[in-house]
Amino acid sequence: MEVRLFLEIGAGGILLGGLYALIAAGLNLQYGLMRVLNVAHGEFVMLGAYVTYTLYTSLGLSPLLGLVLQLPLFFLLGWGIYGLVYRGVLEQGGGPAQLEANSLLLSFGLLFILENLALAVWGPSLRGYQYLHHPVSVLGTLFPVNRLVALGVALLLTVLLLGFLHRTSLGTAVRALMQDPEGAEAVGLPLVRLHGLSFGLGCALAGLTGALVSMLFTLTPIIGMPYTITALVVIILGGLGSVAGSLLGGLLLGVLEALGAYLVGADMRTALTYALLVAVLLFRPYGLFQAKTRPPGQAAGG
Amino acid sequence: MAHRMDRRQFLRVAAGATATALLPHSWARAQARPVRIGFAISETGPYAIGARLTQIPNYYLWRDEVNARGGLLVRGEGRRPIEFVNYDDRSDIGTAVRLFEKLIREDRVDLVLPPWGTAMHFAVAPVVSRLGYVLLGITVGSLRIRELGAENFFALLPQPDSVTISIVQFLREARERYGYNRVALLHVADLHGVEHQTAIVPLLRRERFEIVEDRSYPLTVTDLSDVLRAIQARRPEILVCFNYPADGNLIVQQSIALRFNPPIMILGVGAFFAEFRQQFGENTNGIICHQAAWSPKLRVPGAREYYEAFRRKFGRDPDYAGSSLVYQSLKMLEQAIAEVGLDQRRIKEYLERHEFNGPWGPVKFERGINRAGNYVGRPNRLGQWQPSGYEVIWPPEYATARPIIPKPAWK
Amino acid sequence: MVLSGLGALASLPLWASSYVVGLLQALFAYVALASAWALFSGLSGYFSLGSAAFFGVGTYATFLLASAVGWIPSIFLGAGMGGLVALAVGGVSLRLKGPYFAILTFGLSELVRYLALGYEMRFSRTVGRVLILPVDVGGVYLAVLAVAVAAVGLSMWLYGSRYGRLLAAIGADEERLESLGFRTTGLKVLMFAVSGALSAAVGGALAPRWTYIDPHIAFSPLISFQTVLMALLGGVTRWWGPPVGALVLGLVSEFLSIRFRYLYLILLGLLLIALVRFWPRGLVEAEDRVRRWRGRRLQLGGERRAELQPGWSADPDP
Repeated sequence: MEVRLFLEIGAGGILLGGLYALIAAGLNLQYGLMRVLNVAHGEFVMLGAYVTYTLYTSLGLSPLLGLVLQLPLFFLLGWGIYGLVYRGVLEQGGGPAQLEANSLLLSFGLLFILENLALAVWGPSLRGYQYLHHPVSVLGTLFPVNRLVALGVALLLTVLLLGFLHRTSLGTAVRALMQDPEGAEAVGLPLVRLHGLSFGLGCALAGLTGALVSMLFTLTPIIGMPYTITALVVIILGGLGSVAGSLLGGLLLGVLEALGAYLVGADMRTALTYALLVAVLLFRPYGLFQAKTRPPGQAAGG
Repeated sequence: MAHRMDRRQFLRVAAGATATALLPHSWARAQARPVRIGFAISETGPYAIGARLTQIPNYYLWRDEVNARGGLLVRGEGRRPIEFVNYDDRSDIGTAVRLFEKLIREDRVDLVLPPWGTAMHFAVAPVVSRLGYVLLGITVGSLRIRELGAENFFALLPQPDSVTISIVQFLREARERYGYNRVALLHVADLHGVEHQTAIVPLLRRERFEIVEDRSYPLTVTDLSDVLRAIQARRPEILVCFNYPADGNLIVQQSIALRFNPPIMILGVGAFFAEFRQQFGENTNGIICHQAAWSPKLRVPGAREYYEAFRRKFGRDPDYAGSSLVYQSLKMLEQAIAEVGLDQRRIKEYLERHEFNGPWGPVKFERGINRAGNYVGRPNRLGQWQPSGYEVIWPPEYATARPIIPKPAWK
Repeated sequence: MVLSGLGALASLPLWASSYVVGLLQALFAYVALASAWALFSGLSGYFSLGSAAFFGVGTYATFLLASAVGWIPSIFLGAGMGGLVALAVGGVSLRLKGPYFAILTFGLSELVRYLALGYEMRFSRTVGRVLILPVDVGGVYLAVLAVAVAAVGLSMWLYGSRYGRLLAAIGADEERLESLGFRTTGLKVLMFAVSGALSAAVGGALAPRWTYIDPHIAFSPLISFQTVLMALLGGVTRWWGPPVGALVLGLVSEFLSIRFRYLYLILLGLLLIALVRFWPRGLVEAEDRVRRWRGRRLQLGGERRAELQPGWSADPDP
């Protein structure tokens, strides 16, 4: 196999990998802090995509600008949902497994609601638009501009997120909470506010990813679930709770999917993704980039 | 009316219409028992997208039109208003089967209409057929229909064998004019894709086309660039895809990005939506679609009227393929009922023996499968997006425009 | 009394409409799946999101073998294969806990789906399978009823037995249990296998209704999600939680869908959220509340049934 083709395919994989990393970062924040597995995460991506689409087709607003508008919008949405829905459940206590069970049920409820709201509002037709779809030559290979832009934005946002987590006091509090929920509480960190913040941030990231998705793909109300699953795979690859890990994990997944599909046949691409997930869980459940390899214990649900 | 009538039929219909017209409208309607027509279709769930785009709107369009005229003309009974008895099968096969049993056994409807999608038809058709009801299936496309052994089941859409025959016939004529011989195939890893690909390969080989690439991809694909690059490297002159709407759009999008522009590009399901044109604009020009192509300009009875009625009611274009076929299936039932009444066996015999035409086009059943046009040897139609809109380009006797070959460059 | 109830249920096809039989058949299928799921996952805290894999194995077993060996034997064969698959899956995955186990079972189930698809496409050159069996809705109903009775019966026994207590202890603090010298692996794998076998049996029992299947239908992840949803909704602190959850969710879905059409999923979602907020341990809380209310009225310090607490429901009965 020629090196050049190899590189081209890998590069194509990286372009998507940036998106994956972004989606996973959001889910990671939510899970890392609250130990809630938000099955409805992909629905926020879907909503973000539709909002961007609507802004572009009715107002002519560039998706890149729409993206900026959507950040506060989805943050508030996430904050609101946390306050209305999750907070009550989290404060009920009952142990980590019951929490996991109930947050699963909650997010299923959200999934039903959001998916069908989108169907009701935007209808079943496939929606899409062309934006920056022209190809540009990078080192002799053609890539569509919008995919390059998506990668750029995704990387930028992930770096900003990492900066926030590591360089601001608020971010440090968030990280402390992610690493040691009980300890953080003992130290007196304002749990409710931090939970709300992280959920809101997670939703905002999902919405932003959606904006990028709308540039690249055709939209229907049911595109949410596959993104949730991708986010899940990336989180496992990169390690639960590690945003830097999900950045690397996302890029890696993109590349592996593309190369694997080339080697084994495109129709086996999805099987490959799941095989990767299973392999990582069996041999390196803490993530590919962590030192520990012992299967995670039960305390705090993982 | 979208069917050929002979003199006797005409007189009968005219007599009935006159009689009804002479009666005060409300009185006539109040007197007539409704005809209860039942169906369970996917109004929620993954299948809802296809069902709500293509099938459900036409059911209501037909009902409202018929009722505006005073109702369905039932032989010997005058006009009776149509009343729908319908449920949501939630895209769940077991639920659909159960609901159809309910419709027939408990709700005791006079007639049933089909659900959406091949899998649903496969599950529902044997049950409905066994209960003695006719089912005129539309959105079902599979060579395995005959395995069902469902006697009262009809399949309207051109099946994979008809579709592939028409593609190869078209390609053969194109080759005579332009010399294009290198074919690349791309299909989705699903029943639809596999059956079409399996059907077309021996046909292409027999006509001595050179198949330079034959690839497939999973249903939920997000990136076809590597597959398309591989195909592009083999320099095909013809690309034939058996796809679904989302991946079809992806194929177009990524072909633009790769500057991959084969002189003949044939897509499948989804390329016939007006939204396809909305999304890609000028870049759709030259793209051919192999799915039951239809255009309001077709010289078949009722095509233009159907287009306008649909637009008036829903504020958007119907799709340029199966939508008119759904509507035609309902007109066919209407015609049968006017002729023979509501007895299922008579309806079945009527459907078996007659030829129908419009607003989609000629329909003739052979052992339950639409083999329309067999008598002229052209079972399916191809369409192409052109600056003037969606045109039917094959077969020549139905063409509304000449094909544009080669496909223009991407903008 | 139980036997006469069962007898009435079994005779249903003789006197009830085919719609009711069909509806109950669908409900009992999920009763069976939810109970089978809870047999292992309910008490132990190991949430499996892989029911669809076993269900699909059972469905395919019937589709592939029924013409050769007959329908009922194919169900048993399918159950056996489901159990074997569960043994294999359990063997490798039961080292993981919490959400990792859940994600792994989901990943494995999806992997099975796509591997089956790949195999069918490449080697069978088809994607779906067709099966025409001369079994009417009554027959399928009875088969499903049988599996449901088996699953629920096993649950009843388990929740009262020492194996159940052991599983609950695993759910509470497995590490401590192991340090005390208990070998937990054997029991875990066994119950997981039983759960898998029962799920596969449901698949085989339902097969005649479908006529056509492909890997997406047989291994649909929606099956896994719905099973877990129903079991958790009902509550896993009692043996009757999952069956009740399945019946309630199934009936509510049917009713809402008929009355409210397009909106029904939105309403269902709202209902789900409300339920979780107010009854965090599931519908079984209804029993607790009734008891508490009665207790307050009668002032009995009274007889409390030895309730099996899965270790992870930390707060005791007030």
